[in-house]
Amino acid sequence: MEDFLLRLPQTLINGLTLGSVYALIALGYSMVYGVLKLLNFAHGDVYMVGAYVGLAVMTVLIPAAGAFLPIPLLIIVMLLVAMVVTGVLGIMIERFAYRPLRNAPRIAPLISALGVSFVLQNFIQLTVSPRPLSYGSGTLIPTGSALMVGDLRLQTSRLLVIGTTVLLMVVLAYFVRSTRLGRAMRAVSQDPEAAEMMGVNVDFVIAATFFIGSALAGVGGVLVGIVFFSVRHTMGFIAGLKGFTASVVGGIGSIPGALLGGYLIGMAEAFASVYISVTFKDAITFLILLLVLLFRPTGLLGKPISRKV
Amino acid sequence: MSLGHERQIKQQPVTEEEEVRIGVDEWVAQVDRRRQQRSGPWGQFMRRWEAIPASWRVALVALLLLTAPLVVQSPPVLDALNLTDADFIVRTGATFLIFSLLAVGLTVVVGYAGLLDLGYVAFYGIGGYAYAYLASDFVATLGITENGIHLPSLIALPIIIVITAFVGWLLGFASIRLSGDYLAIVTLGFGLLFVQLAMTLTRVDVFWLDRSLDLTRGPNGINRLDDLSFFGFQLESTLAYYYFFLLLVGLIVLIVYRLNHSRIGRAWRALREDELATEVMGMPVRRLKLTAFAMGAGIAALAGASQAAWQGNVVPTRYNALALIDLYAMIVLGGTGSLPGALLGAFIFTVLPEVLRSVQIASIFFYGGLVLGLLLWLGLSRRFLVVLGGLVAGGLVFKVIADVLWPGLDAGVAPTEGMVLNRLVQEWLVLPANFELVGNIAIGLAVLLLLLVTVTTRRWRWPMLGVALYLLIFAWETRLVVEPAVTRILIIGTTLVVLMIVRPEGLLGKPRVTVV
Amino acid sequence: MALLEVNRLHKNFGGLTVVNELSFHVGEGEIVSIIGPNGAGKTTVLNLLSGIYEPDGGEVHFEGRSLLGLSPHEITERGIARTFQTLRLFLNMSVIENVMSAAYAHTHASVLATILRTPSWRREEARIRALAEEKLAFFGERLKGYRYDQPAYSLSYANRRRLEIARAMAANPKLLLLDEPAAGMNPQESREVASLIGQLREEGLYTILLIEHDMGVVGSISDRVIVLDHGDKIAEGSFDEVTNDPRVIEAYLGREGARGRK
Repeated sequence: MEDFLLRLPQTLINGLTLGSVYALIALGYSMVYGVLKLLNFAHGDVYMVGAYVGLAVMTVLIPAAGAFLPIPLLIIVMLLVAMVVTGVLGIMIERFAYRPLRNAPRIAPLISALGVSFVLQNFIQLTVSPRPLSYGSGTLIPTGSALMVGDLRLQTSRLLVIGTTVLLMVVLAYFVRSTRLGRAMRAVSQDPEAAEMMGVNVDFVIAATFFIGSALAGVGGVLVGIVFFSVRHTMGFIAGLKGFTASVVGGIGSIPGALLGGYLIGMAEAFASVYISVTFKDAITFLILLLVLLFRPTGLLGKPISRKV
Repeated sequence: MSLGHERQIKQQPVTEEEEVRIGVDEWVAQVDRRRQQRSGPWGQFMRRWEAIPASWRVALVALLLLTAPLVVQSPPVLDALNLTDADFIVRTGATFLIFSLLAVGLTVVVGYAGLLDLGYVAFYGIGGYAYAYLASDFVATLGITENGIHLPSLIALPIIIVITAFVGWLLGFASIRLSGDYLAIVTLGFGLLFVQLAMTLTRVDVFWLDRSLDLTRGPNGINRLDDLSFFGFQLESTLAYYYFFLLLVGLIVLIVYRLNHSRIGRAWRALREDELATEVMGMPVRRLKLTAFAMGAGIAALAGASQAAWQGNVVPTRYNALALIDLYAMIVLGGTGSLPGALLGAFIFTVLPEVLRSVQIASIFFYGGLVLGLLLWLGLSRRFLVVLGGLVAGGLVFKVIADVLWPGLDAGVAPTEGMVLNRLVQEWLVLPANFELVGNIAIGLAVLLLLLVTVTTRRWRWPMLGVALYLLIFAWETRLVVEPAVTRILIIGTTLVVLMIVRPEGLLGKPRVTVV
Repeated sequence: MALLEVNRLHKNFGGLTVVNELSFHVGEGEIVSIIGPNGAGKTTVLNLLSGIYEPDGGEVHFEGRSLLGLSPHEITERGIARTFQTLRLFLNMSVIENVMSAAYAHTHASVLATILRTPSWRREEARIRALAEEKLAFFGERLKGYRYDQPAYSLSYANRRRLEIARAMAANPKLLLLDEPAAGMNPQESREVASLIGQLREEGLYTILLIEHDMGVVGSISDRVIVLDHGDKIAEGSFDEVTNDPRVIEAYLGREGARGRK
């Protein structure tokens, strides 16, 4: 019991960190599903590309300008560049792999997404490296740097992840709720055809959705690099699955649902690896998925499907 | 079939009066137009092929598959292929047959009943692991028996099929309320859970023993499984397995074909079209779904057990999401819901990667595909010749200019020996010393330019296409040829995307209408 | 005793009463129409009868046996088949297969018999085919011959309506529920539908309960008409009786309109 309490705070922090990353990925799945009813299986690889872009910016900027560029600024530049690159990548994926298939059978975009995923992974493997690369521990944030709250050690890197995520969530919530484009997005997710007739530029809204979703995944990639150092061209697969699971557990298509699902899965994984066994952490994720869906088939915050006759 | 229709339509002259009474079926006109649209080399080929009676076609394919190993193993063919033995080819053939079985089973679930079952590979795995339990020394380590269990195949296979079909039924039962994407997600979770468990169930505590049990041997899997044997005849060579698999494929295809053309097949396809209408028209939707799940699971288990026996081992990674993706790509490539399509898809996906291993053949595919793709796109027009000629001439001019203006630039040595074509092309290209780096950039640029060309209608798209092709060829010669393992997946991935855009119904599938 | 007896049938959707204590009956061999303004709950009644919705109260008896708690396919097995207002054909299946599929409820071939193609399977399959051709023959030349093997999506709108009726007939029902069989048809086609429904009773010996907006169709064929408004039955009787009922006129035209008509 004492042991349990001793490890509790660190486990919580770990869970929040993982959860933040999953939530960032889950948002992309959820937003895209919301407007297109499409499972974008290439999303995990967009996240992977984000991690590589962050690394590229770092390797270019540190020797060139490291002397007079403060670390926080460097991190912001990495995040911004990664957001733009992955966002544009998302738009391109939508434009070239999904848009031609909007009226095709449901399974066609799914296969097309798999094709995109193959291409992205192997492109990185070919042009960058088939081996894992590292952000380097302590390059950005000194090893062991932490904030002490009483007896509690809060590692700076983890705080960075959680803080960035929360900030982005607030911005996103404001955006979706209160801007013209956000309203248009909600309209398109209700009924694309009606929205089109009401003068909403549906193609633009979908492109914007892909941009935002992919940019968030890109941020997730950079943050993972900063916290866990190692990046690899295959990292998108399992992370994509986790993010996807998170969005489904929370209720796919729902933005708060993606957050809830992300943190739930992150927590479950952190607790499972500490208190049960590291080997079971993935199994437990999917067990949660199965259980949630069996009892709430549309996820925790998803709306029930209405049956039209 | 289609020819018959046209003839019948012509036989019934429609008077003007009658036409008004029946109502002009504009849809009929559209269908006919669509039928005639099947042009191009593939359409031409398919029309010729479909003109042969169906039974002849089946017999022809069967004969081909029966004799293929014998032909491949004959000395002249071996010489021509520059191989010492054909085992490698027969092995690829056997893999193709196993994937055919799997694709046919998946066709029942996805193609007929329309259930997006993404946990399908788990049943393949359950079949494999069940065989490992029932036909190897493995169980001995669990402390239950002395020498493990060694059931004869004729008993083991049916047991495995029934058990796995029951598991499939259970999964269906648990997820029966879910539809569409949600069903896909739950079954995907099930499939991933299976692999996870196979990886991790290595230390399971049980109450009757004071030690923990290793149920799966983790990532290493279980080795030394028995060979299949029937009536005292043991399958040992790859060739024997090839023929056994061929028999299984024939049997399962026959069963599935007959089910499809019957009351239950009609009900399955109705289910895929409209679940509610199916139920209201008197078909028990629940039972139909469960039957489809169980049927698919049983076929996958048969494939899994046979494959495990052939390989002599089971490993969890064989049943992971990549295998699932391959399978789905197969049935969609061939045409979802089409049995010949499933076989064709399996063939392409098992044989093509093997073929592309060789630099020569991959290069032929690449350059052939390039020219053919241009030809299909532009037709045999002047523009096609201009683009192709412009590319060759432009490349030469660029090389001359580069040599004159910047003598140091073209200093690279040829990256590959390859065949004559590769060497010629490498002479034609400007190869800088650090061509690997430039090649990497060229890939990205080429992809970008090609994508741009497809969306723009401006005049400068043609020169841009030329530049894109030049970069692509550069990337091919400097990077892609060097890394065949990566390249073939890149090719497959690109092909999938392009195919879905050009023919979303797959090679042999019929175009489907969802909402009109 | 009537073939179909509906007693105090009740249905709410989230606090809104859609069908309110509705009672009526349909006798063997009758043609009964349900009419009413949009949103009166007509289609909901059909959905309740065919088991798509669970009623919140009341009873439905068919041939003296209760239908409550049965799933839609069990109700079809008992002998009630329907069509849909919005057309729910199996679009990518051929015309004949659409009709053959509905024979499922009264055929029995097992999976094993199907795989082995036993003589009994062959006989049954031939019977299903003959049944389907017979049902399609009801519509003259329109759905015959080369049309058999055409996909259902290639049919015109009117032919799709006909195919839906043929499909419902193939379930061998005693009672046919037709949901706006003349919707979207031109006057000529509507007249044809009316005569077809009469023919269905005379030759096919079906009892028919239909929903229809086209008063021409309703007036020319109905033995009885039931008028619904906001889930309540406001009138029942012959076509002439109900069309002169002030409450019906009010329901259709509103209070003002009804006054103006007087």
